[in-house]
Amino acid sequence: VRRVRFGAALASGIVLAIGSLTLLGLLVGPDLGVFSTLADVLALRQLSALFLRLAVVTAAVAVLVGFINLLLVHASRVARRQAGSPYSAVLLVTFIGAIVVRIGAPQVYTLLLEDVQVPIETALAILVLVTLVLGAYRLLLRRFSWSRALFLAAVLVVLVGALPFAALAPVRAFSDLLVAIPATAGTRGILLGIALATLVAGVRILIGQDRSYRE
Amino acid sequence: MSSIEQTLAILCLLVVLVLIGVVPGIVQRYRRRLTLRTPAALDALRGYAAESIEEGRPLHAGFAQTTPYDAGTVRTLAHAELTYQTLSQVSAGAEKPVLTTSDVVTLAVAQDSVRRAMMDRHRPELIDSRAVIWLPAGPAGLAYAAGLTAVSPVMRLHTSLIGGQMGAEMSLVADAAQQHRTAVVAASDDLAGQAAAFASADHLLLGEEAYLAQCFAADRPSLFALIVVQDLLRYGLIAVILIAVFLRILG
Repeated sequence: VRRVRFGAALASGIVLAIGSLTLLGLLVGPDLGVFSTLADVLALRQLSALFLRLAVVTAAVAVLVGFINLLLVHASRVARRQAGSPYSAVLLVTFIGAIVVRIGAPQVYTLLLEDVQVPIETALAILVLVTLVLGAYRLLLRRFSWSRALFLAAVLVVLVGALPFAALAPVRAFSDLLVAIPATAGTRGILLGIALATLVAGVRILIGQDRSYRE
Repeated sequence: MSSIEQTLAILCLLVVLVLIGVVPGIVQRYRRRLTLRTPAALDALRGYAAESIEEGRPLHAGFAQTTPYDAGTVRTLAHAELTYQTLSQVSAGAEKPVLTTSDVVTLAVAQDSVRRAMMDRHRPELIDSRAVIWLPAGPAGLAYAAGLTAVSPVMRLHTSLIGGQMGAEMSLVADAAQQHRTAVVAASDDLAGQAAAFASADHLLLGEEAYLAQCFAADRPSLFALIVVQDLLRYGLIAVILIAVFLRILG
Protein backbone atom coordinates (compact mmCIF):
# COMPACT_ATOMS: atom_id res chain seq x y z
CA VAL A 1 0.00 0.00 0.00
CA ARG A 2 1.47 3.35 -1.04
CA ARG A 3 1.54 5.98 1.70
CA VAL A 4 0.51 9.46 0.69
CA ARG A 5 2.36 12.23 2.51
CA PHE A 6 0.17 15.10 3.71
CA GLY A 7 2.55 17.76 2.34
CA ALA A 8 2.65 16.16 -1.09
CA ALA A 9 -1.14 15.80 -1.20
CA LEU A 10 -1.57 19.43 -0.12
CA ALA A 11 0.88 20.70 -2.78
CA SER A 12 -0.87 18.64 -5.47
CA GLY A 13 -4.27 19.94 -4.32
CA ILE A 14 -3.13 23.58 -4.43
CA VAL A 15 -1.62 23.14 -7.91
CA LEU A 16 -4.75 21.38 -9.17
CA ALA A 17 -7.13 24.03 -7.77
CA ILE A 18 -5.17 27.13 -8.79
CA GLY A 19 -4.18 25.69 -12.18
CA SER A 20 -7.74 24.65 -13.08
CA LEU A 21 -9.30 27.95 -11.94
CA THR A 22 -6.71 30.01 -13.85
CA LEU A 23 -7.13 27.91 -16.98
CA LEU A 24 -10.93 28.10 -16.88
CA GLY A 25 -10.80 31.85 -16.24
CA LEU A 26 -8.60 32.31 -19.29
CA LEU A 27 -10.51 29.94 -21.57
CA VAL A 28 -14.15 30.74 -20.83
CA GLY A 29 -14.93 34.02 -22.60
CA PRO A 30 -18.15 36.08 -22.59
CA ASP A 31 -19.78 34.25 -25.58
CA LEU A 32 -20.05 30.69 -24.25
CA GLY A 33 -23.63 30.84 -22.95
CA VAL A 34 -24.22 28.98 -19.70
CA PHE A 35 -20.47 28.49 -19.14
CA SER A 36 -19.89 32.25 -19.33
CA THR A 37 -22.72 32.85 -16.82
CA LEU A 38 -21.17 30.26 -14.51
CA ALA A 39 -17.75 31.89 -14.90
CA ASP A 40 -19.29 35.28 -14.04
CA VAL A 41 -21.07 33.89 -10.96
CA LEU A 42 -17.88 32.19 -9.72
CA ALA A 43 -15.77 35.26 -10.67
CA LEU A 44 -13.39 32.96 -12.53
CA ARG A 45 -11.92 35.71 -14.70
CA GLN A 46 -11.15 37.92 -11.70
CA LEU A 47 -9.63 34.94 -9.86
CA SER A 48 -7.54 34.07 -12.90
CA ALA A 49 -6.26 37.67 -13.18
CA LEU A 50 -5.45 37.66 -9.44
CA PHE A 51 -3.45 34.42 -9.69
CA LEU A 52 -1.58 35.76 -12.72
CA ARG A 53 -0.71 38.98 -10.87
CA LEU A 54 0.50 36.90 -7.91
CA ALA A 55 2.65 34.81 -10.28
CA VAL A 56 4.19 37.96 -11.79
CA VAL A 57 4.97 39.41 -8.35
CA THR A 58 6.43 36.06 -7.19
CA ALA A 59 8.60 35.87 -10.31
CA ALA A 60 9.81 39.45 -9.72
CA VAL A 61 10.69 38.65 -6.09
CA ALA A 62 12.41 35.44 -7.23
CA VAL A 63 14.53 37.46 -9.69
CA LEU A 64 15.53 39.83 -6.87
CA VAL A 65 16.35 36.94 -4.52
CA GLY A 66 18.32 35.27 -7.32
CA PHE A 67 20.43 38.39 -7.90
CA ILE A 68 21.09 38.87 -4.19
CA ASN A 69 22.07 35.19 -3.87
CA LEU A 70 24.38 35.52 -6.87
CA LEU A 71 26.11 38.57 -5.41
CA LEU A 72 26.45 36.93 -1.97
CA VAL A 73 27.99 33.77 -3.48
CA HIS A 74 30.57 35.80 -5.41
CA ALA A 75 31.25 38.14 -2.46
CA SER A 76 31.90 35.17 -0.16
CA ARG A 77 34.18 33.64 -2.79
CA VAL A 78 36.21 36.86 -2.92
CA ALA A 79 36.29 37.17 0.89
CA ARG A 80 37.52 33.57 1.31
CA ARG A 81 39.95 33.89 -1.63
CA GLN A 82 38.66 30.67 -3.14
CA ALA A 83 39.61 29.38 -6.58
CA GLY A 84 38.23 31.67 -9.27
CA SER A 85 37.89 34.60 -6.87
CA PRO A 86 39.41 37.10 -9.38
CA TYR A 87 36.50 36.32 -11.74
CA SER A 88 34.05 36.86 -8.90
CA ALA A 89 35.74 40.20 -8.14
CA VAL A 90 35.37 41.22 -11.80
CA LEU A 91 31.67 40.31 -11.65
CA LEU A 92 31.11 42.39 -8.50
CA VAL A 93 33.02 45.40 -9.86
CA THR A 94 31.13 45.16 -13.17
CA PHE A 95 27.81 44.89 -11.37
CA ILE A 96 28.47 47.97 -9.23
CA GLY A 97 29.99 49.81 -12.22
CA ALA A 98 26.93 49.07 -14.38
CA ILE A 99 24.58 50.48 -11.72
CA VAL A 100 26.73 53.60 -11.20
CA VAL A 101 27.08 54.22 -14.96
CA ARG A 102 23.35 53.58 -15.56
CA ILE A 103 22.40 56.20 -12.96
CA GLY A 104 25.24 58.69 -13.48
CA ALA A 105 25.89 58.53 -17.23
CA PRO A 106 23.17 56.70 -19.20
CA GLN A 107 24.79 57.65 -22.54
CA VAL A 108 27.99 55.76 -21.54
CA TYR A 109 25.83 52.77 -20.57
CA THR A 110 24.20 52.75 -24.01
CA LEU A 111 27.62 53.18 -25.62
CA LEU A 112 28.99 50.17 -23.71
CA LEU A 113 25.99 48.06 -24.67
CA GLU A 114 25.82 49.04 -28.34
CA ASP A 115 29.52 49.45 -29.11
CA VAL A 116 30.99 46.66 -26.99
CA GLN A 117 28.47 43.92 -26.28
CA VAL A 118 26.52 43.94 -29.55
CA PRO A 119 29.65 43.79 -31.82
CA ILE A 120 31.06 40.93 -29.69
CA GLU A 121 27.79 39.00 -30.01
CA THR A 122 27.68 39.71 -33.77
CA ALA A 123 31.20 38.31 -34.12
CA LEU A 124 30.11 35.22 -32.20
CA ALA A 125 27.04 34.89 -34.44
CA ILE A 126 29.33 34.69 -37.49
CA LEU A 127 31.37 32.04 -35.68
CA VAL A 128 28.15 30.05 -35.20
CA LEU A 129 27.83 29.71 -38.97
CA VAL A 130 31.41 28.52 -39.37
CA THR A 131 31.25 26.08 -36.46
CA LEU A 132 27.94 24.72 -37.73
CA VAL A 133 29.39 23.73 -41.10
CA LEU A 134 32.72 22.61 -39.64
CA GLY A 135 31.04 20.67 -36.83
CA ALA A 136 28.75 18.89 -39.28
CA TYR A 137 31.73 18.01 -41.47
CA ARG A 138 33.80 16.73 -38.52
CA LEU A 139 30.93 14.65 -37.19
CA LEU A 140 30.30 13.24 -40.64
CA LEU A 141 33.92 12.11 -40.83
CA ARG A 142 33.75 10.61 -37.35
CA ARG A 143 30.35 8.91 -37.65
CA PHE A 144 28.96 8.80 -41.16
CA SER A 145 25.21 8.73 -41.67
CA TRP A 146 23.18 9.55 -44.76
CA SER A 147 20.93 11.94 -42.83
CA ARG A 148 23.95 13.95 -41.64
CA ALA A 149 25.39 14.00 -45.17
CA LEU A 150 22.04 15.28 -46.45
CA PHE A 151 22.00 17.96 -43.74
CA LEU A 152 25.49 19.15 -44.67
CA ALA A 153 24.58 19.19 -48.38
CA ALA A 154 21.41 21.22 -47.64
CA VAL A 155 23.40 23.74 -45.54
CA LEU A 156 25.96 24.15 -48.34
CA VAL A 157 23.25 24.58 -51.02
CA VAL A 158 21.51 27.29 -48.95
CA LEU A 159 24.82 29.06 -48.24
CA VAL A 160 25.94 28.94 -51.89
CA GLY A 161 22.46 30.04 -52.97
CA ALA A 162 22.80 33.13 -50.78
CA LEU A 163 25.88 34.34 -52.69
CA PRO A 164 25.14 37.40 -54.89
CA PHE A 165 26.33 35.97 -58.24
CA ALA A 166 24.10 35.79 -61.33
CA ALA A 167 25.65 32.48 -62.39
CA LEU A 168 24.32 30.87 -59.21
CA ALA A 169 20.66 31.59 -60.05
CA PRO A 170 19.75 27.86 -60.48
CA VAL A 171 21.29 27.05 -57.09
CA ARG A 172 19.36 29.97 -55.57
CA ALA A 173 16.11 28.69 -57.09
CA PHE A 174 16.80 25.20 -55.71
CA SER A 175 17.68 26.69 -52.31
CA ASP A 176 14.40 28.68 -52.26
CA LEU A 177 12.51 25.49 -53.14
CA LEU A 178 14.25 23.63 -50.30
CA VAL A 179 13.34 26.35 -47.82
CA ALA A 180 9.76 26.80 -49.08
CA ILE A 181 8.62 23.16 -49.19
CA PRO A 182 10.63 20.46 -47.33
CA ALA A 183 12.02 22.81 -44.66
CA THR A 184 8.62 24.39 -43.96
CA ALA A 185 6.91 20.99 -43.89
CA GLY A 186 9.52 19.62 -41.47
CA THR A 187 9.31 22.74 -39.30
CA ARG A 188 5.52 22.44 -39.05
CA GLY A 189 5.78 18.74 -38.21
CA ILE A 190 8.25 19.39 -35.39
CA LEU A 191 6.20 22.33 -34.09
CA LEU A 192 3.03 20.22 -34.06
CA GLY A 193 4.87 17.50 -32.15
CA ILE A 194 6.15 20.05 -29.62
CA ALA A 195 2.64 21.52 -29.28
CA LEU A 196 1.16 18.07 -28.56
CA ALA A 197 3.90 17.29 -26.05
CA THR A 198 3.40 20.68 -24.35
CA LEU A 199 -0.33 19.98 -24.11
CA VAL A 200 0.16 16.49 -22.62
CA ALA A 201 2.94 17.59 -20.24
CA GLY A 202 0.94 20.71 -19.25
CA VAL A 203 -2.19 18.70 -18.39
CA ARG A 204 -0.01 16.26 -16.46
CA ILE A 205 1.40 19.12 -14.36
CA LEU A 206 -2.08 20.60 -13.97
CA ILE A 207 -3.57 17.40 -12.57
CA GLY A 208 -0.78 17.01 -10.05
CA GLN A 209 1.19 14.15 -11.63
CA ASP A 210 4.47 16.07 -11.80
CA ARG A 211 6.93 15.05 -9.12
CA SER A 212 8.82 18.31 -8.77
CA TYR A 213 6.44 19.82 -6.22
CA ARG A 214 5.49 16.55 -4.53
CA GLU A 215 8.88 15.53 -3.16
CA MET B 1 -9.84 34.19 -28.75
CA SER B 2 -13.13 33.75 -30.60
CA SER B 3 -15.86 31.57 -29.08
CA ILE B 4 -15.08 28.79 -31.65
CA GLU B 5 -11.41 28.82 -30.65
CA GLN B 6 -12.35 28.77 -26.97
CA THR B 7 -14.70 25.81 -27.50
CA LEU B 8 -12.04 23.94 -29.49
CA ALA B 9 -9.39 24.63 -26.81
CA ILE B 10 -11.74 23.36 -24.07
CA LEU B 11 -12.58 20.27 -26.17
CA CYS B 12 -8.88 19.54 -26.76
CA LEU B 13 -8.17 19.79 -23.03
CA LEU B 14 -11.13 17.53 -22.24
CA VAL B 15 -9.92 14.93 -24.77
CA VAL B 16 -6.43 14.97 -23.23
CA LEU B 17 -7.86 14.78 -19.70
CA VAL B 18 -10.08 11.81 -20.63
CA LEU B 19 -7.17 10.04 -22.36
CA ILE B 20 -4.85 10.63 -19.40
CA GLY B 21 -7.57 9.23 -17.14
CA VAL B 22 -8.43 6.17 -19.24
CA VAL B 23 -5.19 5.12 -20.94
CA PRO B 24 -3.12 4.22 -17.80
CA GLY B 25 -5.66 1.51 -16.90
CA ILE B 26 -5.55 0.04 -20.40
CA VAL B 27 -1.75 0.27 -20.49
CA GLN B 28 -1.47 -1.54 -17.15
CA ARG B 29 -3.69 -4.32 -18.52
CA TYR B 30 -1.83 -4.76 -21.81
CA ARG B 31 1.65 -3.64 -20.61
CA ARG B 32 3.39 -6.76 -21.91
CA ARG B 33 2.01 -6.35 -25.41
CA LEU B 34 3.11 -2.73 -25.69
CA THR B 35 6.66 -1.99 -26.66
CA LEU B 36 7.97 1.53 -27.04
CA ARG B 37 10.95 2.79 -28.94
CA THR B 38 13.24 4.53 -26.46
CA PRO B 39 15.01 7.51 -28.05
CA ALA B 40 18.64 6.65 -28.81
CA ALA B 41 19.76 9.79 -26.98
CA LEU B 42 18.32 8.48 -23.70
CA ASP B 43 20.08 5.13 -24.05
CA ALA B 44 23.29 7.01 -24.80
CA LEU B 45 22.75 9.28 -21.79
CA ARG B 46 22.58 6.25 -19.46
CA GLY B 47 25.85 4.99 -20.90
CA TYR B 48 27.49 8.38 -20.53
CA ALA B 49 26.34 8.59 -16.90
CA ALA B 50 28.04 5.27 -16.17
CA GLU B 51 31.22 6.35 -17.99
CA SER B 52 31.20 9.65 -16.11
CA ILE B 53 31.31 7.74 -12.79
CA GLU B 54 34.06 5.39 -14.01
CA GLU B 55 36.25 8.22 -15.34
CA GLY B 56 35.63 10.50 -12.34
CA ARG B 57 34.58 13.41 -14.54
CA PRO B 58 31.39 15.35 -13.74
CA LEU B 59 28.22 15.48 -15.77
CA HIS B 60 26.81 18.84 -16.80
CA ALA B 61 23.16 19.77 -17.25
CA GLY B 62 22.47 23.09 -18.94
CA PHE B 63 19.13 24.89 -18.78
CA ALA B 64 20.27 27.60 -21.25
CA GLN B 65 17.80 30.51 -21.37
CA THR B 66 14.84 28.51 -20.08
CA THR B 67 12.59 30.46 -17.72
CA PRO B 68 9.88 28.99 -15.49
CA TYR B 69 7.55 31.91 -16.24
CA ASP B 70 6.10 33.18 -19.55
CA ALA B 71 5.63 30.34 -22.02
CA GLY B 72 8.54 28.33 -20.66
CA THR B 73 6.94 26.73 -17.59
CA VAL B 74 6.30 23.31 -19.13
CA ARG B 75 9.68 23.34 -20.88
CA THR B 76 11.49 24.18 -17.63
CA LEU B 77 9.69 21.52 -15.60
CA ALA B 78 10.23 18.89 -18.32
CA HIS B 79 13.96 19.63 -18.48
CA ALA B 80 14.19 19.73 -14.68
CA GLU B 81 12.68 16.23 -14.56
CA LEU B 82 15.07 14.93 -17.23
CA THR B 83 17.96 16.51 -15.30
CA TYR B 84 16.73 14.90 -12.05
CA GLN B 85 16.67 11.46 -13.66
CA THR B 86 20.09 11.91 -15.25
CA LEU B 87 21.61 13.17 -12.00
CA SER B 88 20.09 10.21 -10.15
CA GLN B 89 22.15 7.96 -12.40
CA VAL B 90 25.43 9.73 -11.56
CA SER B 91 24.68 9.96 -7.84
CA ALA B 92 26.67 6.75 -7.26
CA GLY B 93 29.86 8.55 -8.29
CA ALA B 94 32.13 10.88 -6.34
CA GLU B 95 31.90 13.93 -8.59
CA LYS B 96 29.39 16.69 -7.95
CA PRO B 97 27.31 17.46 -11.03
CA VAL B 98 27.61 20.87 -12.68
CA LEU B 99 24.53 22.81 -13.74
CA THR B 100 24.29 26.06 -15.69
CA THR B 101 21.50 28.48 -16.48
CA SER B 102 21.17 32.07 -17.60
CA ASP B 103 18.00 32.80 -15.67
CA VAL B 104 18.18 33.58 -11.95
CA VAL B 105 14.76 32.03 -11.24
CA THR B 106 15.80 28.83 -13.02
CA LEU B 107 18.78 28.72 -10.61
CA ALA B 108 16.34 27.64 -7.89
CA VAL B 109 14.73 25.02 -10.18
CA ALA B 110 18.17 23.63 -11.09
CA GLN B 111 19.26 23.51 -7.44
CA ASP B 112 16.06 21.67 -6.59
CA SER B 113 16.77 19.05 -9.28
CA VAL B 114 20.19 18.39 -7.69
CA ARG B 115 18.72 18.30 -4.20
CA ARG B 116 15.94 15.86 -5.11
CA ALA B 117 18.25 13.55 -7.07
CA MET B 118 20.89 13.37 -4.34
CA MET B 119 18.46 13.15 -1.40
CA ASP B 120 16.57 10.31 -3.14
CA ARG B 121 19.85 8.38 -3.46
CA HIS B 122 21.00 9.29 0.08
CA ARG B 123 23.98 11.28 -1.18
CA PRO B 124 23.49 14.72 0.50
CA GLU B 125 27.25 15.32 0.36
CA LEU B 126 26.94 15.77 -3.41
CA ILE B 127 24.54 18.71 -3.01
CA ASP B 128 26.44 21.92 -3.63
CA SER B 129 24.51 25.08 -4.46
CA ARG B 130 27.71 26.60 -5.90
CA ALA B 131 27.77 23.87 -8.55
CA VAL B 132 24.77 25.58 -10.16
CA ILE B 133 26.36 28.32 -12.23
CA TRP B 134 24.66 31.39 -13.63
CA LEU B 135 25.95 32.49 -17.02
CA PRO B 136 24.53 35.66 -18.57
CA ALA B 137 22.48 35.16 -21.74
CA GLY B 138 23.21 38.44 -23.52
CA PRO B 139 20.79 39.98 -26.05
CA ALA B 140 21.03 37.01 -28.45
CA GLY B 141 21.86 34.23 -26.01
CA LEU B 142 25.41 33.96 -27.31
CA ALA B 143 27.05 35.03 -24.05
CA TYR B 144 25.69 31.86 -22.39
CA ALA B 145 27.16 29.71 -25.17
CA ALA B 146 30.49 31.53 -24.90
CA GLY B 147 30.52 30.98 -21.12
CA LEU B 148 29.70 27.32 -21.54
CA THR B 149 32.64 26.79 -23.90
CA ALA B 150 34.89 27.81 -20.99
CA VAL B 151 33.11 25.61 -18.42
CA SER B 152 33.76 22.39 -20.34
CA PRO B 153 37.60 22.33 -20.10
CA VAL B 154 37.83 23.98 -16.66
CA MET B 155 35.45 21.48 -15.03
CA ARG B 156 36.69 18.50 -17.11
CA LEU B 157 33.13 17.63 -18.04
CA HIS B 158 32.40 14.14 -19.29
CA THR B 159 28.94 14.78 -20.69
CA SER B 160 26.91 17.87 -21.33
CA LEU B 161 23.12 17.57 -21.39
CA ILE B 162 21.86 20.82 -22.85
CA GLY B 163 18.14 21.45 -22.89
CA GLY B 164 15.55 24.16 -22.72
CA GLN B 165 15.78 27.01 -25.14
CA MET B 166 19.02 27.22 -27.10
CA GLY B 167 19.32 28.33 -30.70
CA ALA B 168 22.01 27.95 -33.36
CA GLU B 169 24.68 28.80 -30.76
CA MET B 170 24.37 25.12 -29.81
CA SER B 171 26.97 24.45 -32.52
CA LEU B 172 29.53 26.66 -30.69
CA VAL B 173 29.02 24.72 -27.47
CA ALA B 174 29.06 21.31 -29.18
CA ASP B 175 32.21 22.16 -31.14
CA ALA B 176 34.08 23.34 -28.02
CA ALA B 177 32.86 20.32 -26.04
CA GLN B 178 34.06 17.84 -28.65
CA GLN B 179 37.51 19.40 -28.60
CA HIS B 180 37.70 18.55 -24.89
CA ARG B 181 36.25 15.02 -25.27
CA THR B 182 32.93 16.03 -23.73
CA ALA B 183 29.94 14.20 -25.15
CA VAL B 184 26.96 16.43 -25.96
CA VAL B 185 23.33 15.34 -25.65
CA ALA B 186 21.03 18.12 -26.87
CA ALA B 187 17.39 18.47 -25.84
CA SER B 188 16.58 21.96 -27.12
CA ASP B 189 13.07 22.63 -28.38
CA ASP B 190 14.22 25.59 -30.46
CA LEU B 191 14.12 24.76 -34.18
CA ALA B 192 17.45 26.42 -35.00
CA GLY B 193 18.96 24.73 -31.93
CA GLN B 194 17.67 21.33 -33.05
CA ALA B 195 19.14 21.80 -36.51
CA ALA B 196 22.50 22.85 -35.07
CA ALA B 197 22.43 19.95 -32.60
CA PHE B 198 21.55 17.48 -35.36
CA ALA B 199 24.75 18.48 -37.13
CA SER B 200 27.12 18.93 -34.23
CA ALA B 201 25.91 17.14 -31.08
CA ASP B 202 26.56 13.46 -30.33
CA HIS B 203 22.89 12.74 -29.63
CA LEU B 204 19.68 14.69 -29.93
CA LEU B 205 16.23 14.49 -28.37
CA LEU B 206 14.08 15.66 -31.26
CA GLY B 207 10.93 17.79 -30.86
CA GLU B 208 8.50 16.27 -28.39
CA GLU B 209 11.05 13.71 -27.14
CA ALA B 210 12.57 16.41 -24.93
CA TYR B 211 9.23 16.95 -23.18
CA LEU B 212 8.42 13.32 -22.48
CA ALA B 213 11.94 11.98 -22.02
CA GLN B 214 11.29 11.32 -18.33
CA CYS B 215 8.37 9.04 -19.27
CA PHE B 216 10.65 6.69 -21.25
CA ALA B 217 13.08 6.38 -18.35
CA ALA B 218 10.49 5.87 -15.61
CA ASP B 219 8.88 2.52 -14.88
CA ARG B 220 5.51 3.91 -13.76
CA PRO B 221 2.39 3.01 -15.80
CA SER B 222 1.04 6.57 -15.50
CA LEU B 223 4.15 8.01 -17.13
CA PHE B 224 4.35 5.21 -19.69
CA ALA B 225 0.72 5.94 -20.58
CA LEU B 226 1.55 9.57 -21.40
CA ILE B 227 3.64 8.40 -24.35
CA VAL B 228 0.71 6.30 -25.55
CA VAL B 229 -1.60 9.31 -25.07
CA GLN B 230 0.70 11.47 -27.14
CA ASP B 231 0.82 8.84 -29.88
CA LEU B 232 -2.99 8.63 -29.90
CA LEU B 233 -3.21 12.42 -30.17
CA ARG B 234 -0.71 12.34 -33.00
CA TYR B 235 -2.80 9.79 -34.93
CA GLY B 236 -5.89 11.92 -34.24
CA LEU B 237 -4.14 15.00 -35.60
CA ILE B 238 -3.03 13.14 -38.72
CA ALA B 239 -6.62 12.00 -39.26
CA VAL B 240 -7.91 15.59 -38.86
CA ILE B 241 -5.32 16.89 -41.36
CA LEU B 242 -6.19 14.14 -43.88
CA ILE B 243 -9.95 14.80 -43.51
CA ALA B 244 -9.35 18.55 -43.99
CA VAL B 245 -7.29 17.88 -47.13
CA PHE B 246 -9.97 15.49 -48.44
CA LEU B 247 -12.74 18.05 -47.82
CA ARG B 248 -10.67 20.77 -49.49
CA ILE B 249 -10.17 18.57 -52.58
CA LEU B 250 -13.92 17.89 -52.72
CA GLY B 251 -14.49 21.66 -52.56
